[in-house]
Formats: sequence, C-alpha cells, structure tokens
Amino acid sequence: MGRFIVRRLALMVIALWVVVTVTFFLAHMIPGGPFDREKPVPEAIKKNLEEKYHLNEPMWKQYILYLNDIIHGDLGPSFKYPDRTVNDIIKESFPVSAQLGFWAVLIATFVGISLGSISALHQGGLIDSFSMFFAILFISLPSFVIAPIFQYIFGVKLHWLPVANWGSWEHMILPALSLALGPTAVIARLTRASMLEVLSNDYVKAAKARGLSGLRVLIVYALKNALIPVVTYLFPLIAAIFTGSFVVEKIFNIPGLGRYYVTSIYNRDYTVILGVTVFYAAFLILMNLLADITYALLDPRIRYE
Amino acid sequence: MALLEVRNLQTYFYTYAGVVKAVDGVSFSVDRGEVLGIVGESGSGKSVTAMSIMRLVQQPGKTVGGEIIFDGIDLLKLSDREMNSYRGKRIAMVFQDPMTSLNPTLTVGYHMMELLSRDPNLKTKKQKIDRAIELLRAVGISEPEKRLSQYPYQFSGGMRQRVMIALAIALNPDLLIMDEPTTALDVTVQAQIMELVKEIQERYHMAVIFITHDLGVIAGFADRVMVMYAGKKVEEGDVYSMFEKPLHPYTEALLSAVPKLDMDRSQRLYAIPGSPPNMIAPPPGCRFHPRCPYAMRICAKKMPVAVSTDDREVYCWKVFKEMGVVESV
Ligand SMILES: Nc1ncnc2c1ncn2[C@@H]1O[C@H](COP(=O)(O)OP(=O)(O)O)[C@@H](O)[C@H]1O
Ligand SMILES: [Mg+2]
Repeated sequence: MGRFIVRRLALMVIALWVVVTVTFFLAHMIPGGPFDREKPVPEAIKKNLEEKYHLNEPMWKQYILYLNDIIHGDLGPSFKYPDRTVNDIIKESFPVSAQLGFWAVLIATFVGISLGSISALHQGGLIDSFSMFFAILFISLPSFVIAPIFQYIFGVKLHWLPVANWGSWEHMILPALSLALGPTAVIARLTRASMLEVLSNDYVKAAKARGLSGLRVLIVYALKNALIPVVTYLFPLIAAIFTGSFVVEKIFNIPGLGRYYVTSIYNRDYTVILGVTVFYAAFLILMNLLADITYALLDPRIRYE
Repeated sequence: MALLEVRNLQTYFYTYAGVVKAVDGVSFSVDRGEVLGIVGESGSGKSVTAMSIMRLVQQPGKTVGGEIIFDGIDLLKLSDREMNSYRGKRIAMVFQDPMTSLNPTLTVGYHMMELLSRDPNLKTKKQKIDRAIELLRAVGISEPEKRLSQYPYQFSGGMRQRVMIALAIALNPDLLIMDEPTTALDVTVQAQIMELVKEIQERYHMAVIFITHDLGVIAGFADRVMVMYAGKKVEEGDVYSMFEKPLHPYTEALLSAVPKLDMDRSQRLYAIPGSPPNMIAPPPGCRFHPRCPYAMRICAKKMPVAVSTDDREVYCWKVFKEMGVVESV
C-alpha cells in the first residue's frame, strides 16, 4: 500500500507539470495582453509593468521563472488586482466553493445511494420506476437550466429562499441543490445498477443460505461491494463539483473560485488563469489518488497487485 | 420418521413469456444420515428443488404448493425469521461455482468467524478461531492459520470449494444440500472433492442431498437416486438397482451417457437425442415422450401414474404395461 501511494504521488507530480506547461503556453496564446484597455495605457507605464512582471523576457525564461515560483508554492501576483496575489484569491474564494460543493456532494451521495439501493431492492416497483424516471430527467438537465428554474420558482414566485447572493445558510440551498441534482441522478443509477449486479451474485445467495441476517447480507455483502464503482465515481465528482461550479456561482452571484476563474479569462489575467488551473488540476489529481486508495481499501484484489 | 419429507412441491416462475413450472409436484424424502442423489439434465428443476427447500427461490419464482416437512415441521409455514434460523444451522447448502460463492472483499476467516458467532458453544474469539482452524483442517486445507487471513482470490477453485464445505458443516447441520459441487472443477479436483464429501458425510453422519447431472459421480456415494425430467420425478430407487436395471427410458438414456472406463476409444459417447422440453408449454402426457424410443400412443395423452415396487418408483407407461398391471386406462 505504501509503495502504491508513493508511485501515485510521483505520477501526480508529473501530471501537474504537464498541466502547468500546457496551460502556461495556452494562456500566452490568447490574443491581446493583460494591459490592453479600451483607453490604451501609456507606453512607458506599460513597459514598466511588463518589466515588473517579466513579460518582456523571452517566453522560455518566463516559463522557468514561473515553474520556480510554483515549486515554492507561490502562484504569483494578479495582473488585474495588483494588491492581491493569486494565493490570496484562492484562499478567499475556494472555501466558498468548497462549502457549496461539500453540501452538494453530501446531498448527492446520500440521496443517490439511498434511492439507488431502494430501487434495486424493489426492482420494477413504484419507487424504482419513479426514481429512475427522475434520474433520467436530471441527468439530461444541466445545472444552468435547473438553477434559473429554481430561482424562479423558489425565489421569485414563492419567496421561500433568496434568489441569489451569498451569506446565510438559506443562500446555500438553491445553488447546492442545483449542483447536486445531476450527480444525485448519476449516483442513484450507478448504485442501482451495481447493486442489482451484486445482488445476483452467488456469494449473496450463499450468504443467505448460511442464514445470515437480512441486514447483514444487505450491508456487508451487497451494499459494500456495490459501492466500489460508486466510490470511483465519487471522488472525481467531488473534484468536478468543487471546481466545476463556475456556472452556478455565476448565476447565483457567489464569490467562489469559479467566478474568479471565468472573470480572469476575460481579463487575460494570466497568473490567475494559470494559478487557478494548476490549483484545480492538483485538486483533481488528489481526488483521483484518494479514489484509487479507497478503491484499494475496498477491494483486496487491487491492493495486492 | 424421515428427516426431510417433500410432498407435492410446486415451484413456478412467472415470466413474461408464461408460467415455467420448474418443479411440478415432486415428492421425496431423506432419512437421517442418508445420501439422496438427484440427477437430471440441466434445466430439469434440480436447483429449483434445492432452493425451494432453502426457501431462497428468487423472483419471479415462487413455491406455490406442497409441503416441506423437516424434522416434523413444515418449512413453508415458518416465518422468514424462523426459516433463517434453520439455514446454516440445520440445513446447509454448497453451490456449484466456488469461484463466485465467497465475497471477494472479505477474508476467508471473516466468512468463518461471522458464521461461527451463531454457535452458542463458542464464546470467546479464541474458541471461534480454534474452531475455524479445526474446520479448515477437516476439509483438507493446509496451514489453516495462515489461510484464515487470506482473501478468496488467493485460493484455487478446489480450495474455495473446500472452504464452502467447511462453512456448510460449521454449525453441524442435519442436512447438507450440495448442488453440483464439482461441476465447475477440473476432473482431478472433482475426484478429490468427492473423496472429501464422502469422508465428511461418513464422519458426521449427515444426511446429504447431492445434485448432479452426471449419474457416474454419485454411483459410489448415494444410497438412493431420484431422477428428474422437466420439473417432475420420473424414477426413484436404490442406487445399485437403478444402475443394474434402469426402468425409465430417460434413466436408461442418462446411464448410457455416462462414460465407462472399459469403453473403447472408438465408441462414441451416447447423447440423449432431442432437446429438453419447452418448460412454458411442456409436451402433454409424459413429458419425455417426444424423445422416448418406446413412446406409445398413451404417452402423449396421459401423465404416467406411479408404478411402485419395494425398491423403486417409476412414472412410465411402458413400465406400467410390462409390470403386468391391468390396463385400465
Ligand atoms: N429466475 C428464473 N426465471 C425463469 N425461469 C427459471 C428461473 N430459474 C430457473 N428457471 C427455470 O426453471 C427450470 C429448472 O431450472 P434449474 O432448477 O436451475 O435446473 P437444473 O436442473 O439444471 O438445476 C429451468 O427450465 C429454468 O428455465
Ligand atoms: Mg442447477
């Protein structure tokens, strides 16, 4: 297990380096520069700025400088907000995204697994048909469609919850639900399929034939094994929800990392684009590592490979 | 009184295509310490019979009629909870495919300890571990201490079937049902497992229902044999007399399908002509008649009645006629 983790960590570093490199050069290919404004900045100032941020150096040198900074955990300053560093921006806004993501993932996991297992246990029954109908519906509805519908119904019409903005727990409900619905549907379907597969296994039949209690068979034999594929989906999902909430953050005007990310692209704020991308990549890769570790913990056949 | 008495068991599957009468009015009994073989081609209802006794028939199947009297109690009348207390403890079962019968995410030791915690005589963990080791040793697994902490994938097929047998006998059941326990194994391993099964049966003097589609496998093991065809019993009798002189044409056909040691290489193995019947719309009369070389007109019309002699029970019009019973139908 130790060796397994070390090997994965090494791969992780390589993957991160590739991401940094590719994003670095892609970001510099965006036409225009960070100091292009409608009213042009005076040449002298622009030159000073470019010197300050090493933009006058050849590309490869900028790249080396940037790599060096990253290794030291410094993602550099923002071009757009000179008083703040990229580290500051992430420190401020990621907790907001993470909080939102946490609730969304929690809802999706809990509701998805429950619905999926109940559906599997009562295959073809009313609950099954009902939840699978909604699963298909919500899988095909992207969050940017669900979010405005929620805003309209629960915010504008019913006045139950705030339409947008961030602050209290009430502000969190609609965006968290908008984010959670799709993944809930995916998890429910995944759990159901996996559970049905596991329930048809001989070892479940054999466990019943040994007279083990129904609850024991359900949890130790069926659910535990059925969740293996769900777990592999769960961690990339966490990464996707934590990082992929740009649209929902934008719609609900939430000061999360996603919103900064989108804005930084409009502003050609290279360091923010780069920094956030690297941060997202690191987070994603870390989640995959966690998925692999959990997978190995759940399934001994993988652990000993 | 017999340990197990199955009377007129009916287990049907309600499929979209129609009702499959997988077990259609089967009766038999097993005494304490007796070995009953159940044979028949695949699809004849052997596994469904076994699963009906365990009351583990899955949807869309359902036992719709009959009685399963075990030690004086009709299992079909028990509550789910009461039935569960019979499973493993009084009636145990070993399945066909050892490769898939153990939970791949649990150690062999976990499987055993979990079951042994239902044994009231084993109070401490130490006692349970000792018993688990003793059981593994009893089924011929070497280094049982080490094996306990291993996972199923670290065991070969034969070894896994030994584990399944150890689990089956762990709580000293009165009846052991084995559903083709050697079919999925290599021939040499098959022979070893058969040796083990015989040894275990003798040592613990358990009643065994041994299901197989191969008459040859049970020749030296079973006391009695029941032959099933298309959800019905067609013949039952003492194993020696059945092998000596099969009465039902289907039993005869099954016997000729058993390869013999003295068989010349050039002799072709006999296969029963025709194919198993459609179970949703089985042939009228005797279900075997379309494949039977001796079929008479009545066979297609009327279900054969039982012909019983002291050691045999046969459902066949030809036998009925030859036995000299007055032709009344
Ligand atoms: N889940 C099921 N659904 C429908 N039919 C089934 C099911 N399980 C078994 N059967 C039918 O029951 C009959 C007997 O099956 P089985 O007892 O498994 O035969 P075998 O003698 O090979 O063990 C077969 O014809 C099969 O089609
Ligand atoms: Mg079978």
